[in-house]
Amino acid sequence: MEFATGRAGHLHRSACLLTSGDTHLAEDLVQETLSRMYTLWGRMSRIDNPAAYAQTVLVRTYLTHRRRYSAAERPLAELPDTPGHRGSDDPALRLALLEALRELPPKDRVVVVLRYWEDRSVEETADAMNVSSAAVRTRSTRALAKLRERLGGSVAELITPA
Amino acid sequence: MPFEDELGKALRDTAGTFTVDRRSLAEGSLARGRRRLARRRASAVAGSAALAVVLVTTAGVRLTGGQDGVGTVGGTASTSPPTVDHRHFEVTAEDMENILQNGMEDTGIAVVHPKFRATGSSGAGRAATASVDFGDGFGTARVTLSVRRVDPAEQDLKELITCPPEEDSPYEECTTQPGNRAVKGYTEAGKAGGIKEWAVTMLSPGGYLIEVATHNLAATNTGAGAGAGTDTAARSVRRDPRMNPGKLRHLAMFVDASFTPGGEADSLGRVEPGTRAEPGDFLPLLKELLPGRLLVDSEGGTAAQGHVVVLDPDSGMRTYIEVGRIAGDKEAWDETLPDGTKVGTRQLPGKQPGVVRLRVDALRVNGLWISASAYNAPSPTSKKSGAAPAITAEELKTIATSRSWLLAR
Repeated sequence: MEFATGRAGHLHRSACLLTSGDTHLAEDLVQETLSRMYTLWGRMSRIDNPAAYAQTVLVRTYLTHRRRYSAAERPLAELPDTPGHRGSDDPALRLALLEALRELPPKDRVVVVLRYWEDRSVEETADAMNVSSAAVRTRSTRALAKLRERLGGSVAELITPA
Repeated sequence: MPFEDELGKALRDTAGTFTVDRRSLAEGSLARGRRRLARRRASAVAGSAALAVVLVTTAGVRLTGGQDGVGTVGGTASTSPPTVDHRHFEVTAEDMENILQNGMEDTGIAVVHPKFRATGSSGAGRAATASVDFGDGFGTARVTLSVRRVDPAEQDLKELITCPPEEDSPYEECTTQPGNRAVKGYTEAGKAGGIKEWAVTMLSPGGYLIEVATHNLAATNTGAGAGAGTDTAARSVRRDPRMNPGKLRHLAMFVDASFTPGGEADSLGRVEPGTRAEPGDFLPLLKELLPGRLLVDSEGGTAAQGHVVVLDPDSGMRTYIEVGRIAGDKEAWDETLPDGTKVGTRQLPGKQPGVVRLRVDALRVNGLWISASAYNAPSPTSKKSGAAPAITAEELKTIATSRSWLLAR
């Protein structure tokens, strides 16, 4: 329970990025992920980093969901009204980022989220996605180009001063 | 700063806006995990799919048949108010289909290509049934409904709404839930072969024994009614049934509310599917937010838009008021509220001479853009009905900035 409560928030934020703002689907993915972790708990001592493992389970659950649910994604979900932390004051920019993520193919989106939100290495990303490092590099380059083209300078406006 | 770094920072800022009740999410996850583990263990020890089929069949027979107990209703009816005749039951197959269809809509389950079957009943001795086979993108699923007229005071019925002792239980899981109105239980009969039935049985104080059940079965050539148990060719097509016990309970409560104490379907049950407003639709929310002095003359709308025409009984003047969720592009804000919501109020000319359109837009920090308008006319294209709309700009602003819209679906 402690692990689930401790990781739920971070996994949920990851899932929200993966689903480009669909908070309902994100919650479902997190529940599925943590329920799988629960069934694995007896073997958890053999897992070096349970938090990273949960992240991998989340990514694979998301990709499986995408494969099974091939219909178009639902429209952008509404974001919470009282955010715990607000970045930019302009919701339009945040929505623009989520929209840009949504336009990426699911696997490219996973690469972006793992590489630039999770700060995972190419190798770790490849491991989580069960693909080669070269495939991650290719997807990363392609996704960044699309995001740069889509967002341009607005990314700089989006971020808050460190 | 390189684009990659900017992107990382932007992702962190954006992700930071998503909040969730971590504890409830964790609790839900663990409950799902425990169930997953229980199913895995059960499937490992169960001998064959036949057992599951037997269980499903047993449940079906228990609910769709089981008329013996009803025969004693007459003898125990004296414990009920004399005005209620628990032997009277009059419901058509069409009513049952509508009740199930409306109930499914009420639970929010997306139903694709539904195939409904239903039977009515004209006596307490016979259950009225309905079933639907449908898809939802993850495979086919079935939901069945059975309603039998009973005297709630009848002692034999308690057996049906009480779980057997765990050691004797044929069910993988069964929960007896206490309550003033009913005791509800659900069974999960997932066994080897993957055929599972989850069910909620409810004894309503109005005199109905209601069972709703869901199966992970494919649509097959079964007879009419809720008799999944009569389906000898049943085969599982998905890991779990579509509806969880919470949704099933919700559906059972809806069914209970669809019948009168007198033994007939009420207006909630008879309403044509698809025409009833959802609680999360804009129209019911708009009506709740209207100033109490306004009298609604007519109304309409879709999920994300609602409108009413309010009537001033003294002058006969009609005002059209509409509200909707929009994806606006022309931003014109006059003020920002303390919660960050931007508000813009404008008065625009209508299409007809003398018609005024009062418009208030509200853009919340989460991106939800609500636009509310009022016309001094019965519709946006009608001739004017009075000098000004019957609602003030301040009242319209109260509507547009209400947090209720966050609840809209």
